[in-house]
Amino acid sequence: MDNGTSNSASENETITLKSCDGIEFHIDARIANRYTLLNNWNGGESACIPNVNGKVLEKVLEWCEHHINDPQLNCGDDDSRRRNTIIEEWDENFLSCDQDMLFEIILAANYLEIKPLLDLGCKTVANMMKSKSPEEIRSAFNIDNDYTPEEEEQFRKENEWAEDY
Amino acid sequence: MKQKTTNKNYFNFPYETLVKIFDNLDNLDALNLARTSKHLSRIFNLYNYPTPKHDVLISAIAIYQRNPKKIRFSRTIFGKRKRTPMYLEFDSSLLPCNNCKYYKYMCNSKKPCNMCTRHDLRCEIVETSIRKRIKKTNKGEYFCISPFTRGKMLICVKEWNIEKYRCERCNLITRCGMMPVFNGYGMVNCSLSAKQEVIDLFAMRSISHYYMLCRSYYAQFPISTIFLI
Repeated sequence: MDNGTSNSASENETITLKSCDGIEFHIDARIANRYTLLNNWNGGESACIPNVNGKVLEKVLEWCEHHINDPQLNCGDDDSRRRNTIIEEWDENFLSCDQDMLFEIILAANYLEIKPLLDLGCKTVANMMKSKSPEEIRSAFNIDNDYTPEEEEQFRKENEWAEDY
Repeated sequence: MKQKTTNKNYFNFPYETLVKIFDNLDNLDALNLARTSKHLSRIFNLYNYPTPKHDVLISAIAIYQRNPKKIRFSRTIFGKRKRTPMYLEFDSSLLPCNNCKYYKYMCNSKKPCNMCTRHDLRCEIVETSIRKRIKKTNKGEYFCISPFTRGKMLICVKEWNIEKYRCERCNLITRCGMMPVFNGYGMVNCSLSAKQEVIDLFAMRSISHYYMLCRSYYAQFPISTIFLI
């Protein structure tokens, strides 16, 4: 059975990735092999990853490196992973950064198609929202309120069922 | 976990990412998030009301004339965790008074009834609305206990895959449980229903009457729809 680590790259093999601001990272080839998009950018000196700056890419690669030996989940496991609300301690500490960095990591994970990291980021954001009122969420995440009070009340009424649980 | 507030609005995430966030929230938290902005409410609606694979068939064994005055049902039932609660709300004025319950529910009057007068009891009509949650049997059928007669099931709601009953050309429902469904004025309409504006599920005695309604039909009604008695 494929546990996700049996790929062709050996432990000593490294590849070079460059962030959009020109910072180079030499990473274990096995990391790139796990995530197709990273592998595609393995272009040596000239290749760089657009939209992801060095600071964020460093964090993303740090996460990938830590989870290099995790078994790869197939599509069927996607749902169970998403439903599981428990976040491992290392991951929790890893994402205990400021909000800007957290959101940048999510965007980068989405861009680079690193699904486990994307799920983890979304789970963290969701945990930060739990048991908060709309007003508290707005102020915590700097969301502009473009509702009139009437519109908001109307929307609440239309979805009143959600309050029953 | 201390985190400082961001100065940017990051909630212009791609749709799939926002869906993942909604996926990790329970219904109430998801609603609270959706209430923060119109953009998020649109995502919430897309998340909760996508094109359904199957709709809800409402069937009622209408034995009683005392109809519920309000029925609330989901526009669609689907998905993994999200479930829209369904309930019937009954007109309290039709319920027997509290005291008369001891006399086999014979009273449905607001005034002191004979039974109460005879036994020197004060009629106490239930003032609040009676809301009965629709529950599920082991077979997966939905039912509601009648507030009028002990132990009677008043409604049965089943989930049926109505896709196979849709016309491939016009995408409307072609058959209901009893007979062909006709389309009048753009509205799916069973010939057993005389008035289009009323879902006449409870009006007929001893008739098991099935309706299969498409999503566009539900969309015409607010979630809480008052049914005329």
